[in-house]
Amino acid sequence: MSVTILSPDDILTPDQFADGKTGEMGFVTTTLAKGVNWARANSVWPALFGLACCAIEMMHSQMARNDMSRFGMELMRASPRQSDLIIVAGRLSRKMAPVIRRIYDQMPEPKWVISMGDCASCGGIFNNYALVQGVDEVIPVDVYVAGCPPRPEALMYGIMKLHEKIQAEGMDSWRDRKGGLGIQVGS
Amino acid sequence: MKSGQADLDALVERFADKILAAAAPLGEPTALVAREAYRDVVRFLRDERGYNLLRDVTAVDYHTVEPRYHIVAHLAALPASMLAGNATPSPDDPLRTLRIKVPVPADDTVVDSLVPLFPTANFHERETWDLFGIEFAGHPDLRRILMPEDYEGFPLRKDHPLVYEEIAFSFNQEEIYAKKPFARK
Repeated sequence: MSVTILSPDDILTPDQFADGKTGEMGFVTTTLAKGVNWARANSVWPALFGLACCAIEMMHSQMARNDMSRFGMELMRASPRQSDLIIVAGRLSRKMAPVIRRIYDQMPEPKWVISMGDCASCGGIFNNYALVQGVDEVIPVDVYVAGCPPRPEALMYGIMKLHEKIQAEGMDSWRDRKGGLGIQVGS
Repeated sequence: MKSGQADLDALVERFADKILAAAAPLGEPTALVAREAYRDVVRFLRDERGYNLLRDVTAVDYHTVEPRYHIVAHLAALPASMLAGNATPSPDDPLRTLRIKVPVPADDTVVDSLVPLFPTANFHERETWDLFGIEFAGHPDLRRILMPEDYEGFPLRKDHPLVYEEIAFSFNQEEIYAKKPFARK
């Protein structure tokens, strides 16, 4: 293992650091990435964001028969600062849209979004003045789960798809998705 | 239990020229009251006829008919036995219901507020303002309650559009879905 002395104008991402600046240590990165992604996928902590009827089905998938805690997701954090995933379950009204944007911005990286149900994915049966037609008008979505409401098994399948997506990414794919080394927060 | 008919007759007798119409369609006593007598009529019903519950205050938009809006207020007289805790009223002191409708023209959408008489009218009148644009004079805090504060327009008026995204039928759904954010992946 070579030791690289960092200078102040060298800002390295963890991928680059593990690779060494010349990119020789490729196998370290891939094993590290696999390990990190395995850890991330198996302990995703969802933030509570049940808005309407889909929240009931989300609660069903949390309960004993369809158990989300076998995926490590039994901790539904009320605070977005401590969660990785936001499952938007239900109708997003126009009055609620800035609220969900603020909660999404408060989540630390890496973060993922599951849009659960028809109303969150595309507006569902409610095409009117009061509802946002699909939550992806406001926040970027990773997995769409269709259904009105989706069965708990369908939500599980969506979560398993999300796990596959997490494990297929590199360690810092969120940087590529958002662009740059981080998100600027502030005025 | 629609024995508000007796109160309707008392109303017509007391406010003769201000009651524009009094009828009982489908067995529900309804009075059409002129705008300037609205609060006096409701005060008379509350104080002298025992109508102690304001159930709802809302509006109807008759789009091309003058006057354009009717404010609709539903009142109920809960008898003393129900207030004491019995779920069913006795037949000699029944639960009476009455409906008051107030015509409001389209160019002058201001009505008296019922909040000094029934504090529960606060939220109902805020909802009517939010969705119809009818102002209530004397309301302590008239602002939007259901729509976002910076929303422009009054959604339940008949000339307000229902949708902001085109409705997808089977013949045009491909083009509509191609423009949505989820199509980019």
